[in-house]
Amino acid sequence: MPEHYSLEKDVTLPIDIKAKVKKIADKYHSFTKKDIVVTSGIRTSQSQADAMYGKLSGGDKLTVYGQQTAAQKIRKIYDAAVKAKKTKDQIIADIKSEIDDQIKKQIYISKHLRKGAIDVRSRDMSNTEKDKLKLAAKGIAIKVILETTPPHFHLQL
Amino acid sequence: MKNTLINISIHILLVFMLASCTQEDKSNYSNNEKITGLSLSSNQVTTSDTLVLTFPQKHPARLAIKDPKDRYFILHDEALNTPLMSHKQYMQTTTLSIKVSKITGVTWINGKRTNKQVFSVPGEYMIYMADNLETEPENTFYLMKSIIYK
Repeated sequence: MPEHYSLEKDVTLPIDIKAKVKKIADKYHSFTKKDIVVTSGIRTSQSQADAMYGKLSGGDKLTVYGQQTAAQKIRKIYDAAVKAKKTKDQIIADIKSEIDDQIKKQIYISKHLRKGAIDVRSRDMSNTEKDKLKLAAKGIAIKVILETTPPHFHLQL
Repeated sequence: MKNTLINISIHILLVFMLASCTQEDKSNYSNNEKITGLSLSSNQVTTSDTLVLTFPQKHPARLAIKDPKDRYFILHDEALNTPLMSHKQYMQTTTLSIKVSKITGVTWINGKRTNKQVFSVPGEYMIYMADNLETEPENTFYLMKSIIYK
């Protein structure tokens, strides 16, 4: 039987999460005859640190983050590391260490640091199809959020 | 559309000529790396203006603009075959110069893909560059800046 979901480049999912995505995709396909596309998956603290280094070195003040206390702590760590003339790799290591500490305290700077967080393409869905995805995810996903900035579904599985 | 492409092509050509002249000049490359964030030629534009975007050498792989009605128009995404320029050119350039009246982008209306003029209603627009245009900004490398269209 063909899969009714695909993963965008660089997206990898653990086997148990893949099984849940498959269930949702099969249900969604039975409603709409269409497949779903997973646009983002679970992120490691290393890749989060890489991305945050990119933002901070580009002058970003991290104001977009919902977890502002955690974000500003990372910003301070970055500023201190730059002042101490640390290398890029050392700065990323410092940021990663802080993200790991935050995760231990169950503070997630990105929703994608939680196990089971995925994003699904919504832009090519009609309003009816969006409703069908919510229906297909019922009982499988803990949370389904239709995000608008930018448009996508965020699912916590 | 044809004029837009010609304008962009000329601009890119100039950028490449300058880039090739300074390829071996490490001090110039370092200066380029020092450009932080996304900057715009103006914080407000009209239909007769040309919008110039300047961004760092290491910049996100995709470019979109959000209009005041929260609609996203994708100007560059390799996977969508957007016509702005080749992906190689996009990743190498640090400046984009586009006539406001000619900016078009890929958008979806009730799930149907279409290509539309971006600046159509007055209000605040957001220029959004990101590696991933289908996830939260906190989950991807992005640069953004808002602009008023009058």
